[in-house]
Amino acid sequence: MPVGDYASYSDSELIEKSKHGEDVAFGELVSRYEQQVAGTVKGMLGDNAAAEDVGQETFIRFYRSLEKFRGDSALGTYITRIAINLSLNEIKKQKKVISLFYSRDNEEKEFDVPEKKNPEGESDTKELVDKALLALKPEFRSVVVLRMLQGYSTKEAASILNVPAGTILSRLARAQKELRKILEPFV
Amino acid sequence: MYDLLIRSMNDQLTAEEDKQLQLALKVSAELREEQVKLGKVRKLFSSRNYSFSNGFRNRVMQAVSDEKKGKVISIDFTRTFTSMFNRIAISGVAVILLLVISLYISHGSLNVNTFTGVDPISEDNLISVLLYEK
Repeated sequence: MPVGDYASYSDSELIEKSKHGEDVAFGELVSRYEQQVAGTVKGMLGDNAAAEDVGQETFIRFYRSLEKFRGDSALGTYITRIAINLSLNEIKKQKKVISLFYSRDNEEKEFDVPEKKNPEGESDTKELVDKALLALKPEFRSVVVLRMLQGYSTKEAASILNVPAGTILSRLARAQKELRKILEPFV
Repeated sequence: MYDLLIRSMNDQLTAEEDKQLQLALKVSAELREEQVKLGKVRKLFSSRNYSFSNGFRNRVMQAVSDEKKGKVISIDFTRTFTSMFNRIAISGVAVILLLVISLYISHGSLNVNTFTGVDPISEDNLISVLLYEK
């Protein structure tokens, strides 16, 4: 069956076909959710090789867990949950490596605000957004990625991160204040 | 009021809170400016699109294919190991049976002494062994 024909199938049909060993069906799922996973992992880790690896690992984990997927939540939410968890693990891993070489003096700071630059010098708003995101602590960053980048509702974000909705709202409010501060010269 | 402004962007305010905020926005130019700036910040993020580098899908599919091969190899190994174990176990049981039969033929019984190769210990034999001096 040509690849194009799989585009007409629903997610659950593609999952069933993937379970029965139809790799093209799984490939179609990868194409459908590739951008969503990219937004999550690159928002969390930055636009780098580590994010590409985590993105790939996300789909491999999803493939391994195909049998376990019951369809209780939307597939996008399920994959995003895997992507967020793997990203948070990667951040922890990177933090451990960094802590071997650097002192912990800066850990007291809640947010690492980058140096203010002349708006004309920072023509690339993409880079600007990435820098601002990476300046946030991972728990705040994950909320911003889910709510402001991916457009999930508070309830969905709470379910993905397994925290109460109130925590999402308070983290989002604090993150927004910080982002507003960080991006002051550019807005 | 600033907190209320931020909350209004993420959550549903109560009618009373909304009324308060609208009133504050009407009288405070500073708060209105903040509202615009926060809106711009949100727009910056919502318009940021990410994508993986070219060939991402193919790399994933290759990894999935490798994963499947790994599974096949491990399944094959388990199958081979199980069938080998069965053959070894059957041969082992056959050898043990042959030994038992040969013991029965040579000793005429299958008691413990036959298996251990020790003659029946009578009290007299034991005393003679204990009293033996070089």
